[in-house]
Amino acid sequence: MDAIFQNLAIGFSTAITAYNILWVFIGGLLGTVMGMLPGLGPATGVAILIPITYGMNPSTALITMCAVYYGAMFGGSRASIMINTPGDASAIVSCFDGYPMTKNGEAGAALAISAIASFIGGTIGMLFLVFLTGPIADAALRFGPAEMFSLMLFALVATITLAEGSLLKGVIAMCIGFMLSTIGIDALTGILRFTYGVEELQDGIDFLVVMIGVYAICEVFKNLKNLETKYNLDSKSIGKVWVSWPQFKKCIMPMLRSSPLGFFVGVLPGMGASIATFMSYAMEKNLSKTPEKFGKGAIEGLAAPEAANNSCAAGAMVPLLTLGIPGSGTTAVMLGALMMLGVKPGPILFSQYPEIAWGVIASILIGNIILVIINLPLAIPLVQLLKLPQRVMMPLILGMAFMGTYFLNYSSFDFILVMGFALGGYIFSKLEIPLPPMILALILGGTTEQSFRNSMSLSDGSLGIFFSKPISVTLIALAGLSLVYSLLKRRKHAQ
Amino acid sequence: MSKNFMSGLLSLVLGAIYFFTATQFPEVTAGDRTGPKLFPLIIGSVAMIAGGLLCVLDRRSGKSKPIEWGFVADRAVWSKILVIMLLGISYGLVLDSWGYLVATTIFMFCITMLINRGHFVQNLLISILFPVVTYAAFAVALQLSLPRGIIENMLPF
Repeated sequence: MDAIFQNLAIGFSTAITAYNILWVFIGGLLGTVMGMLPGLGPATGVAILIPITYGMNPSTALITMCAVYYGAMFGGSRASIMINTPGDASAIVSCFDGYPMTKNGEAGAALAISAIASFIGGTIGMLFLVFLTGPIADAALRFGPAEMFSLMLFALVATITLAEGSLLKGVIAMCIGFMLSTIGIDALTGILRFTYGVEELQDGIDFLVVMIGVYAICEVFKNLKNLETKYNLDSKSIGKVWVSWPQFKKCIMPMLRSSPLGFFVGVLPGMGASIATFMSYAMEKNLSKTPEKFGKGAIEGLAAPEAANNSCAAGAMVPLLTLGIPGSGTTAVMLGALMMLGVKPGPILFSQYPEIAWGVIASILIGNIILVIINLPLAIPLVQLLKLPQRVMMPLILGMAFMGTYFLNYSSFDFILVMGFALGGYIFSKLEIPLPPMILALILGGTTEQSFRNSMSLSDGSLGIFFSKPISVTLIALAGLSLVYSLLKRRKHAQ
Repeated sequence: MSKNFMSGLLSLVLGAIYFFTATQFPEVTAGDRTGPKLFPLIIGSVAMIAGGLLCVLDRRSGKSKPIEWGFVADRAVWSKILVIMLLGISYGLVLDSWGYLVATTIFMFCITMLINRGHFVQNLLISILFPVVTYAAFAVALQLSLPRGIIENMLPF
């Protein structure tokens, strides 16, 4: 326990500097705006805003990205509440009761409880993060190549089975991610692979190029059809952005129940915030004495998913910080940006750079406080941004995305790649091929292959090494169970 | 063609090219028992098997969903995508030689005129303000390196 408090003290001493707090404020505000605008989720927000972190030290960069992430989570529900259009998938559930509250003349209360629940969820998530990261990172330090390979395998299988749509399409997406990850010089033998004579591919494909293509620019492509969409926003009827005590009292237990649920869903790779919000909504509806009010403006139906959403974001930081495995699209982008700054998240981060790891954890609490301050008094001016037409926003997003691309390697070749990936992402969306397995395989591809090859060298070519270590066997069994469960569920669904 | 069949076919073709390319790698196993071939061969095989299975299951299921490319109905969207791609690649090619401010102003003007049609003054303002604000933020305030052209070289910072 003492060690935790010591680490937290290191974290707060890193996070509480005027410079870092300024960036938490800027990142949180920009993230709120990004999350609020329909079609732009936290992953797109972080991808577009990566350039602002380039001149920073790794601690400030990660703290800023976390602020953007959290800001996007706070902001995501604004559009759900005001115009019945979710900012991203995790804010869909907020439409169920948020928009009916607006129609019932309770927009102010809806905006307030969404910010308060986000704050409570984020803070509870942060507390879990404090107590869980240390033991997990310590355990992960003892992982050998076989355990690492099994862990990657489990993360990938979990992502495939939880991805929407066909399981086989998830496998295809994963294979494409692995294919991309193997392009360039082989780290173990120095042989050029899959470069097809293109010199620029020798160093491999920077996965931030892929992220900017498939998240930021592809989003612009998808939105080209809706450039003239106008939202019916009546900001004058919002009233006071606050909740009464009876309203708050109704939400206390739903928020306290949904926060741990959201956190543990966030820890699992591939389980996005959208799953956490749907689960918490269903749970509260089942537990409610008045389930018939859900969907008609029940304030607890808004508070529960909002709390789950933000604690899920804290949960997603667990695999990222302790194992170097991104649990969501947003943490994948953050991982890429960190690797550009020369920091590789994982168990070593906690022993080698405790100020970064714990600074980020401490900054989550600071970010939550700043965000609730931004989102309560500034709620009305912020929702005015929903009046900004897509046709003005999209060129700005393209401008930022290209700027981010240039900063990666200062190479014009990356512009060709980024456009190719944007088109690829658009084709994937037309074919309904899920992106998360591809992104995860691309990021984990190098480590997965190296762990596999190292394990095979250690065992003289025997696959038995993966079944001779308890952790490895457990992870492989979990991967198998996840696959079987998913197959049975899909079969039942098909029937 | 259905969504699943097309996805399967794509995986089959990519997997086959990938697999064939991997077979051409030299055998190097010094200090590395499996060499650079095995992992790609496994991935290529899995891609081909998954792709083939998806194609077969799609034909058997009888519930195929056709791909909605929208080449005709969304002709305007596709042409915008094509123009954005060409503009993006051209922007990357001229950025170093023209400098950030000139290249970005022209790029943003073309993009805004494409996406935000009929708002000339608004587009002109965005095209000028975006590069100026981002240059001030990134090159001046954050001290990041942006390509310097004629205009940037005249600036005192």
